[in-house]
Amino acid sequence: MPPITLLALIIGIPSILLLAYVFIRGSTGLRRYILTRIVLTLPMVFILGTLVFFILRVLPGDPVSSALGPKGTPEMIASVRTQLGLNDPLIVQYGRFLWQMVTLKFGNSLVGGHRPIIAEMSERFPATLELIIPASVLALIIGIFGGTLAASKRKKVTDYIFRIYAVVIYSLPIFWLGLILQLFFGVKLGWLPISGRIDPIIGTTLVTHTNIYFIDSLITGNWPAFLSVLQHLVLPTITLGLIQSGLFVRITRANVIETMQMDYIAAARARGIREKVLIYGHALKNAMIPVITLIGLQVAILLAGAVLTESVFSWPGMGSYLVERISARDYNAVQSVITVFAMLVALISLAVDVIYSLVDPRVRY
Amino acid sequence: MADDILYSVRNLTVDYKTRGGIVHAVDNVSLDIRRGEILGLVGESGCGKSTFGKALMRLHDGPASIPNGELWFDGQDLMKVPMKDMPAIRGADIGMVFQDPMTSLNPVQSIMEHLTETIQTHEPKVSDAAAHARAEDLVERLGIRHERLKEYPHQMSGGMRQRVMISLALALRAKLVIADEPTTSLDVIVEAKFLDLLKELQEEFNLTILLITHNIGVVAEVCDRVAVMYAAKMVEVGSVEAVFADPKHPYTQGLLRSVPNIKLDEGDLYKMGGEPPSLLHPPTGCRFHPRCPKAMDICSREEPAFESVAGEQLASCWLYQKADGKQKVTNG
Amino acid sequence: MKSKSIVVIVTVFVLASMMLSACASATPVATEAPTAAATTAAATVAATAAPTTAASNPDTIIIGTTDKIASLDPADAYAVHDWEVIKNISNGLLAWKPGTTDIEADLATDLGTVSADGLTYTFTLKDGIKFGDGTPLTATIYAAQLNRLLTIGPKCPNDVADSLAVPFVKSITAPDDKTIVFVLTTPIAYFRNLLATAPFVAADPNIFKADACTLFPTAPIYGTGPWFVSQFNADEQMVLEPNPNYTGKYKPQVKQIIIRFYSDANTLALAVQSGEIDIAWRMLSTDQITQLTGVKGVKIGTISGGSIRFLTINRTMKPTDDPNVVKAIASSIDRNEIADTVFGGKVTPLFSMVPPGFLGATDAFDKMYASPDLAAAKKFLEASGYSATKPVKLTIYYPPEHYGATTAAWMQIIKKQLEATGEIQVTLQAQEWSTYIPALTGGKSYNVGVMGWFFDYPDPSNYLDPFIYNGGMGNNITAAVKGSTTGKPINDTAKQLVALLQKADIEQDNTKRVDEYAKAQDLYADLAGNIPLFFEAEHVVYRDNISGSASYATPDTLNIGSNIVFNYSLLSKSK
Repeated sequence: MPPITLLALIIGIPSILLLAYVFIRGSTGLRRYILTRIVLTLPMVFILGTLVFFILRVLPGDPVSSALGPKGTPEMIASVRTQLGLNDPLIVQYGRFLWQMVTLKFGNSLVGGHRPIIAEMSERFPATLELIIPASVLALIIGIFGGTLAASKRKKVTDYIFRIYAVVIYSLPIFWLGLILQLFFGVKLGWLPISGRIDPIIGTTLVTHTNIYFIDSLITGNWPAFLSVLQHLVLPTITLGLIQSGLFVRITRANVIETMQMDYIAAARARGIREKVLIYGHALKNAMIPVITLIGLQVAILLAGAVLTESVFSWPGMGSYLVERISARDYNAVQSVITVFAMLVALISLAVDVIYSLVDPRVRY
Repeated sequence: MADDILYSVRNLTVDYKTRGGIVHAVDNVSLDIRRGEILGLVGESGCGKSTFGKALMRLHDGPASIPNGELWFDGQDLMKVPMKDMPAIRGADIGMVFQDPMTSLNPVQSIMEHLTETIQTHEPKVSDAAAHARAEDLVERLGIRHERLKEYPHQMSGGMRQRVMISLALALRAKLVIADEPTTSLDVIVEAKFLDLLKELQEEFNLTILLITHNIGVVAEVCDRVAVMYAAKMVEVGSVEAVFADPKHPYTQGLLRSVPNIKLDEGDLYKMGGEPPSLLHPPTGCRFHPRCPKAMDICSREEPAFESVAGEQLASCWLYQKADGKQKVTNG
Repeated sequence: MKSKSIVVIVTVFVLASMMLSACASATPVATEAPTAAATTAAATVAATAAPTTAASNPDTIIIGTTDKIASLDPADAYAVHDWEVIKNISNGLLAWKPGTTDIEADLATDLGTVSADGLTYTFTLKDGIKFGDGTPLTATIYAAQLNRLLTIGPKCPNDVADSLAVPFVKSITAPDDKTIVFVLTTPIAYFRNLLATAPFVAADPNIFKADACTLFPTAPIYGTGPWFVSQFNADEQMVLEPNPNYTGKYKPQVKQIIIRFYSDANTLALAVQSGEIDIAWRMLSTDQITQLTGVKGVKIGTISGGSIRFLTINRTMKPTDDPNVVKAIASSIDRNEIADTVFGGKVTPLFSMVPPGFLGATDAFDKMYASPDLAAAKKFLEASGYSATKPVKLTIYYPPEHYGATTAAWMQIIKKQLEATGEIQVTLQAQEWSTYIPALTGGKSYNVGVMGWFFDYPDPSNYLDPFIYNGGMGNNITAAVKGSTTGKPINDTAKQLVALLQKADIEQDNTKRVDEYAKAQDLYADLAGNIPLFFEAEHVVYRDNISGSASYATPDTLNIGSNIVFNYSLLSKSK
């Protein structure tokens, strides 16, 4: 398979499967809604990409002088710029960029190894996935169960503990939490590794297929690597997960409390439904509807959090990639990453809407 | 206790903690509910009738509590049942139909899930298939096509939902159904149909129903007996015929006169003067005395007993009883 | 049940992502079969199973760095760390002796011969040299590969050739299989130093083709050096293993070197502290070094390195075109205060652009200005009509991160020192690197800016020429002229200086060179197009079971000398 389309497919195929599922099972209205959304997403990605293209070029500094530093003479800078196509008229560069977006061929990066961006992203993107998926799961578990527990013990000690937890953890800076965890579990106790995705030595034995090391070590049956990947995941996952969990605790708690006052909960209680079932079955399910919306909105914040977490734990993911390339003025990489992020956020918000319609039978498109 | 009494409430008080202090939302109320009857419980909004209905299942929570009272249901004082065992009684022995069918059904549960969950909560051994069959059977008898069971509450009309609520109350063959303003949110035609259904069901299942309502017309139409509450107190109880023909308590009299009557054109409707009292600081003596056209000196000082005034018709009014010396001394 | 639908959807989504990314196996991460050494290593680790035991494996040394590889093509790479890797997997005709700036023969049999006019250098290749992939190295192949430097031009984006080869070398030929002949454009004195740099190593012809720049070759990457790159994942790690065909004298002591890339220096410091890595090398801040000082199990080697910091002053822009203003600035700076308050004494005050330890280095600025001397500064200012009521207004630019997070702190001190004269008013202006550097070296936008320099080859010319010739990187001591190597000097002093430097460049007698550079530094201090501030030591932090070789200079710094060449073959590790 040509690598250029890989990334698009990594994002595309699951969405196509999801859409296919919904198309077969869903209503006509839902189908029309999804189609409309997809059609609307395209101009959105286009507009965003165009904005990024021009903003990057309005910003002072350029990739060549930035990379060559003081040792780059004006002649060297000029000739390298020509070589990289940066001296072409802006309109030509823009046309090239549009064509890259349409064909999903993102070109080569303008700094570092000048490798194809698609190859760089196919290394970085799985690393970010490997970080944000377990972190989100952790955040949701803590958020939903903590929030529900707090709601069920309203105005009792448990409730206050969770409320204080939510406020404190939400206001903690990621790098600080990460540093404390590193110092305590890594340096002081020596229990957990503090950097990277896998032990350097074991890493040499890992054969990669997906670049999601968790999966690679699993499918190749490389158990030392699998263990090492899990160990390396602990601290970054806890850091990013805990920070994210605060908001989920608060939102879940508020929603469960609100839902518990609904007539249908009183009615269910009058039918002899036990409190636990009322809270975890009835109230939570209803309270989850706004929480799902929040998950969709959190994606952008999660990616931002991933930037810091990746930096603290030297985790080579998309967040640190974007930061590196913005400061190096790697136009091609930044354009491409933003385009991919835009597609990703659009896709997730579409998925959230679809899931929403499945959770809440009242929602009809 | 006589065998024909299903539920005997003795001296029930329900307190609410509020910012202003403790409010007795139900204050030392006694009431018998007879087997197989439809008992109407009427009163103005906020008189404590809904709180009374909920208290019968001990459904009070948060700021509410029952400081004293006995709740003899089918020979058992529910007040002595541990709270953790109450859910087994709720829904199974006593069912409840709530005021607003629009909000009393879980929006993310299908009707089938409502029913099977209720059945299986009380009878965990019932298989899914059996529970489905029972649910289908039940709703068909209530005039809902069983195909509609897979639907969600929002897909149904108000009347349909109220039938669902009834079916939920009947799913476990409850001996007593407490219907709290079940028709308030329904339009007149649907209301009439629903009341017919209620009556049919009562006959078919030999149900006992406590119908809480502020609508005297509904009481007249379906109830066997009627109980009247005013400001957290029971003021009158009797058969519908007796009470409607000869209301004893001035409040009941006022209540009946304020009902519009299409057949009799009596000119302007009667409007009771004054406002219902604040339960935080209820009037001394008879609570109705500030509004009572027949108020006497004693009414503001001493509380009348709730006792028989004519056979099985009970009322709480100084018009029909003599002051007891001891009380005079205490309050005077 | 709706909840089941959600489970189905989520599962479909996750599975599809997995399957799909599984098709992405074409990506170049560690895809080849694990090497024997790696497998053994992993087995050892698996047996002990504790999470931080990686560094306790005696066969592997893990080096952490915040540097990223930008290029591995010798004809392109122009970064310190890139050179370090290139020099470990390849070698050239000449090299520096470990820990020193002395030249020794490497691929050549001896230091070669030079013609009387200083223009022709002839070298003889040792016998039996092979690349790691088995290709024998002949003079013909070597010369052909070196010619890439002269022809490849801007195809290579880091463009080292245009700085270090094209200006000096006219032709490279191989008259026979053992002989390589260089003909120079000018008889430069430091040519042997140039030959020891990374661009002149023997590049494998199977990897680095004549007409293409290959920045990131696919592993395995071979050269003639003691190591080869067996795995390379650009942002994660690089694995080096001993080159089986290496015949030189620096034989690897361990079976594997892993270079681990860090995005954050703080994490790097913690990693060496926790024992996750064996060596932390570039770029820990002085704060982090202070933190690590005295930590059990950790040693710190301090290398008086060649990285200097200085002010660049635009000599053709008002008001710094006035020599009195520039001299007032030079008289106000208190270098010791900067070194002590910001760096806790961990940097050395610098009084010439040529740092101590390099050929001909003097204390020219100290001699001339004896700063801080506020009285002298005032005198200079008042000579040009400035006073407390009519002060000189200066804006000093600096990049906030590129020279370390402490930059703002020492810029504040400089502002305070200049303002202590009472007749200079300073505005500090931070400017992001990619904007900053072209503006500064362009010589049109900034009056005063701060700059750092790290030599390409350890010779005084590399600390002076770039700051004088052709615009002098923004100080405009000369005006850049197309086709000229030096540009047009702005005044007589500059003219004398240029002439002196040109003479020193080609001076073959070292004693004479020292004299010439001493004079040049005095002239330079007078012109003050740059004001040297301090030079930063490099620090190598390592676990106490790692050692350098006692047979060579500076084993305490793992044999890294002031030329900042790190020879991995000298490293050994005890249990």
